[in-house]
Amino acid sequence: MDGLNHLATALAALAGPWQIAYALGATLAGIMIGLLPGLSATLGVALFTTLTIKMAPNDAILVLICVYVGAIYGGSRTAILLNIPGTAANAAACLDGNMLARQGQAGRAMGIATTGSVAGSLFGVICLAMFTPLLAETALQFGAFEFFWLGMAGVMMSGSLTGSEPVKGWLMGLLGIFVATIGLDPVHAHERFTFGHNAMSGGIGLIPALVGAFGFAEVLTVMNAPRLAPIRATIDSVLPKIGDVVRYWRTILRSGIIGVTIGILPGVGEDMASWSSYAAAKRASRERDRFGKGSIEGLMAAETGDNAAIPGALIPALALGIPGSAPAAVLMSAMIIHGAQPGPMLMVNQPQYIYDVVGITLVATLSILLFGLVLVRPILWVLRVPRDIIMPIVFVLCVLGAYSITQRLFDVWVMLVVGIVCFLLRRRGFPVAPFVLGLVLGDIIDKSLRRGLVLSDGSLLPFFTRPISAVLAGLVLLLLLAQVPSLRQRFTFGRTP
Amino acid sequence: MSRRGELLSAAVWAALGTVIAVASWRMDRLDDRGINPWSIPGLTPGVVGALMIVLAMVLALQSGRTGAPPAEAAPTPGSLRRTLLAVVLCVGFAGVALGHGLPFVIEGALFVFVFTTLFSWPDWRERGRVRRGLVQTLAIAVAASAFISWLFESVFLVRLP
Repeated sequence: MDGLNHLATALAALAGPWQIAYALGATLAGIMIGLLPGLSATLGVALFTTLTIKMAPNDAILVLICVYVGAIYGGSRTAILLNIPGTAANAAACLDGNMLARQGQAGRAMGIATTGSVAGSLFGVICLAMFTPLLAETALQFGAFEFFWLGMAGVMMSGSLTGSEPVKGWLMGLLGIFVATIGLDPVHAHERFTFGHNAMSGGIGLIPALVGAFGFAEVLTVMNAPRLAPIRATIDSVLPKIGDVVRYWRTILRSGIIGVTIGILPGVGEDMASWSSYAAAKRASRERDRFGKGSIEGLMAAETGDNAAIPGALIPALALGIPGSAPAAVLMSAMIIHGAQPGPMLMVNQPQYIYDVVGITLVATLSILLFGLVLVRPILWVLRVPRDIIMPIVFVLCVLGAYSITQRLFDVWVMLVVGIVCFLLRRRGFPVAPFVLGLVLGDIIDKSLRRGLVLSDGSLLPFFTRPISAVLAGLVLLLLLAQVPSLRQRFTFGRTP
Repeated sequence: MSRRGELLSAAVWAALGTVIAVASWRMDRLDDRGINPWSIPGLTPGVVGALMIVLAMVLALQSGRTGAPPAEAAPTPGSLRRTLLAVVLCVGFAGVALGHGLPFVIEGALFVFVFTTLFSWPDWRERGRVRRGLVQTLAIAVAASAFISWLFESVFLVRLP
């Protein structure tokens, strides 16, 4: 009952004219970011974090979640029309979405994408409202040992599942943890790796580093790629057919469950949710031979899965302070900047906050439904703007975004260095998402490891014998064992298609 | 990426891990403050450095056993040139010019104009649209820089560099 009261309060606060304007504007901006190949949801959330720094906390989070949801949804447009995913989460939508477009059903494909996205997001919102308070309550029993393993499991899982080679992902995760240790040590306020520079004492700012990793690095990646042909597509009716929804309700439900579950796994993200939902739908479908040739069910599964993962990724971010995906990591940082303290104590200190996020995610979902139905054709103009014009403007925003938090040129340099390093590493097959997770979770891992060892007087046993710690340690061990070639061949560990 | 490239990557990671581990080992253990020895500042980075070395060795072994997995496509001379040009322009603007003379609004407009012109020039020439392209780009650069500067300075109250 308390939950419903909190939710009603949250929805009432979102009904103001400014809040509606923010939600619609931010969702539209998110859709445009998602539409443009190369610009990711993470970049959108990172850039808008800097743009919303002076806003009221809940308005800022409203804008950021709308950008997040809008970007993941918007990427399906490019996947359908250009066969290039607007964001990594929409890669699975290319398979059937683009085939439908080639068969003259681009509008229908977009309608299906809208239906799937809204259904997935709504399912995720329900799970967010139901499971976040439960998880937060359970997490109140967590101590330093559990938080250490939770952080490690997040980095390891992200490393295992986001790149083609887990070892490279883990190395990136470790790099992120190392970068997080630069600056004043949080336990004894001792300077680490600052080389005597005052500017380094405050540590490497999360937002400048994220803007570099996902902003500048992506500008370089886009400019590195060959030029895309401008889009000229004819579009039929974009109104979703009720029959498609009724016919594929099982697919929607299954993909929603898969999406939320994968979203909850720390650091895994929407792209894996999309692929897993697609693979599960293909296995269960009676028309599996149509998959990859323009299957409505395949497109529905992919788009439901990735959008359901968004609220899913917010569940551990709010309840445990461990983000479920890279954009959720940036969003969690923004929440901290705006005065919230995601983690088990959130439900104790700010119970209303969780329901505010639920309400905001619901508003974002309704906004994508609105834009999906009425603004498909007008917003496609953005695909015709050459990248040579968009990218320098994005870079100027990156520069000011990095600078504006503390107004130091040092942060601009951090953005430049992190951007160039991440661009080079990405070209050598090292994924960036685990680096971000390491950067965000580095502090919690560092503090929890040392506090745990102090509590146990140097004994490692409690890290393995406490029940929840044992489960999490087992998970990390399993991820490691999955890379032993003989075991890998025996059990089918690894990526979905 | 070639096997040699993988080995080179592994060597760089191992070197980084070694530097981190050694620096952590040599970090002040704050004995004078009488802190618990399990809370020394170098503990976590030391473990991170050691793990990096181990994983770098695994990476080197994997490259030898299975051959290198496909990374992103090898850069063509054209893509390499474009990337280098983008890096030079971006670092020149944000790292060198910014905060050293001209107001941000002018520097931003100049950067957008020069960046777009240099990258679009071959396309404009091919289509005989050089003059039109230059005028359009100048207008977009000035408008974008003026809007972004106004947004940050007047709305977000940021003192621009």
